[in-house]
Amino acid sequence: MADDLLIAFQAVVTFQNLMIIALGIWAGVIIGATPGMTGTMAVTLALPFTFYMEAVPAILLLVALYKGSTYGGSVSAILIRTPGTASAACTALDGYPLAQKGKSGKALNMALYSSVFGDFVSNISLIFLAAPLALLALRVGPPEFFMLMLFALTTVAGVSGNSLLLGLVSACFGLLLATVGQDMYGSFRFSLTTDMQAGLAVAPVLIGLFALPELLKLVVFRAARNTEPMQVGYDRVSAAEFRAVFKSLLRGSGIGVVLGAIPGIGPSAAAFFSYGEAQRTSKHPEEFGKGSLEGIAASESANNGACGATMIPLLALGIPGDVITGVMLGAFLIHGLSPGPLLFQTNINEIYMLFIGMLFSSIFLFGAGKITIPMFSSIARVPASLLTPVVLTLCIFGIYSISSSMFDVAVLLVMGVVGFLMFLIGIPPAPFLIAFIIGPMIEQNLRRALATSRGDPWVLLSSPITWIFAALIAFVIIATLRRQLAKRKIRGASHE
Amino acid sequence: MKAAIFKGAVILVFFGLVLLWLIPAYVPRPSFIPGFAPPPDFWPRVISITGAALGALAIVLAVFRPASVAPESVPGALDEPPEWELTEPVPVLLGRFGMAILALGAFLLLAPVLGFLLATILLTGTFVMLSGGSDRWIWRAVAAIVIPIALYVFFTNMLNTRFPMGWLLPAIGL
Repeated sequence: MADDLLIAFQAVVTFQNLMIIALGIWAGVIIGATPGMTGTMAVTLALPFTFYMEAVPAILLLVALYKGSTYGGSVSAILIRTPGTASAACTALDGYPLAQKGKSGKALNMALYSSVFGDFVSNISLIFLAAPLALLALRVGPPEFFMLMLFALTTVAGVSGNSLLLGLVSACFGLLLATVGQDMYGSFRFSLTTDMQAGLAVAPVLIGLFALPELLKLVVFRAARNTEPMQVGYDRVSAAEFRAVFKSLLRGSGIGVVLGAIPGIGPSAAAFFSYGEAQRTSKHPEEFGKGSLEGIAASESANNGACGATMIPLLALGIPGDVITGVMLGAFLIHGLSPGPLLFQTNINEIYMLFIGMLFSSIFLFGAGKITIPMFSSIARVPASLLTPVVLTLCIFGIYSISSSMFDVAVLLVMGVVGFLMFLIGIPPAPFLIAFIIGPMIEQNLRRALATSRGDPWVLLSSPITWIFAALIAFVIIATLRRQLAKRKIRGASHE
Repeated sequence: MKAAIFKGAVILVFFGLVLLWLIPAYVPRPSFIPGFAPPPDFWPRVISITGAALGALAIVLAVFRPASVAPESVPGALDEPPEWELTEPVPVLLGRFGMAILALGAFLLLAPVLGFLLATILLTGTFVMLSGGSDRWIWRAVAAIVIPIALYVFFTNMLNTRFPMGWLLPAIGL
């Protein structure tokens, strides 16, 4: 194992790879800090460029963008009270009031230290947890995998959007779209044109669904953000202030790791939960919402703590925990790597390279944040009305370059319109995308399970592991419904 | 309530059409299926039935939902905080949406005629205008012309991508 690690270390620590990680982190920070741009957009837009790279640098680039944009999201949250990513929403609660007091530099620095801390803890957890989980997964069969994927899908449907029902409908749309093309036994399904016989490629569907609706929202609603960004000061976080929030950092990172590792939960829920816990256990809960450093630390350590952890189910089980890891799953497959338990046997060198590269990314995150902090006011001023059409151009060129096919460009544009219509109806896109990506795997496991059991559907509940997942699915559904009913009651009461 | 019923009806009709029309027409069953393997239309049927049932459930819930409760807000909660508001009349918004769809459709039709680069410049320019962006024409020009050309040069020279040249310009001697 030591030899393998040494070989992987030598393979990763090249000038080219380190530059890719550094540039990915830096670009992610800038994109995350730019209003209207999200981490999902950063990762999806970079996907076409990774086609021309080796597998490990390609994945490392996407991981770097993910981590960078998660931290970058806190910048616009602090400076203009507009979270660049949903996971930075809690950071705005305390970051913006602190910036209003003229301490934006302190808020940005605390967000950076917390992000790096959470990120490092997350990477270590990934390294120690992914392999044992993969070993465990080797012992389970198609029925267990089917139930596990159903659980992941139910969780994503439950936490995305306001309605479990619409989340499940979204997942059904994604599963249906994934059936286009050839099935596992060679039959063609929904092949209306010859282009569709090979199925719909992942890249145009996911880029169309997540990048283009933003452009259409801008064109149709023309909502302008007039908030003037706060000026960035040079005030630092003192050692005493860092010590005071250390407990929140540790707790936030732990929450991030645990919630990030559960498929479907992701960084947003981790940040909200960590913020709530920090406020509940704080000696100064009254300061939360008024510029508390503890609040920023809790939120940022949790959302970055979840980043590496979302890779645990992806690498160990082949199940993406959120949309961004869904994109990464696509990148793995494009480069001929199939995430899942077997990856730890067939491509252990690539796994080690990925782990080592991710540890380096924590260091680069710190450097990129420090270098970029003085520029943040300018970045937050970039008008979305100019930026978003450029994103459209980038999408079109990127998608065409992958396959040299106008059909894929058409799929991109159609999916953009579909994504916008889904936004109007209130159907969340995340379950759609996750379902589209893992749909073929769900179907294969279901059909294999049924084939080996001579068509008996009870095979899906034939072992203790399947019972556990069935119970978890029931738990997620009940918990989501209870949450929605409680919200509805509050809304109803406020209307009376 | 009407909007919620309409939403449920759209979902029900969509999955109903898939189940009753698209699957029988476009998912042929092979004449021989080995062993106990489920046929190719098994999974699409399971999804369509589930989707249609969810649509029907949405209608039932909309009918029996108490009237005092406000409908759900449009955007998703966790992954997409609400940020857009209806500040203008619906016909204006529909008009802009129609223009955007026309521009996207025109791009797909024009790319094989005018070539990929020219069609992309036209499309980006249209979207810069439609998004009501910066008053400074220089920034509009950079976004609409310089960036597509820069991307074209990058992809052609660095990644060896061959974009469609179109037949119109060569036909008139350009």
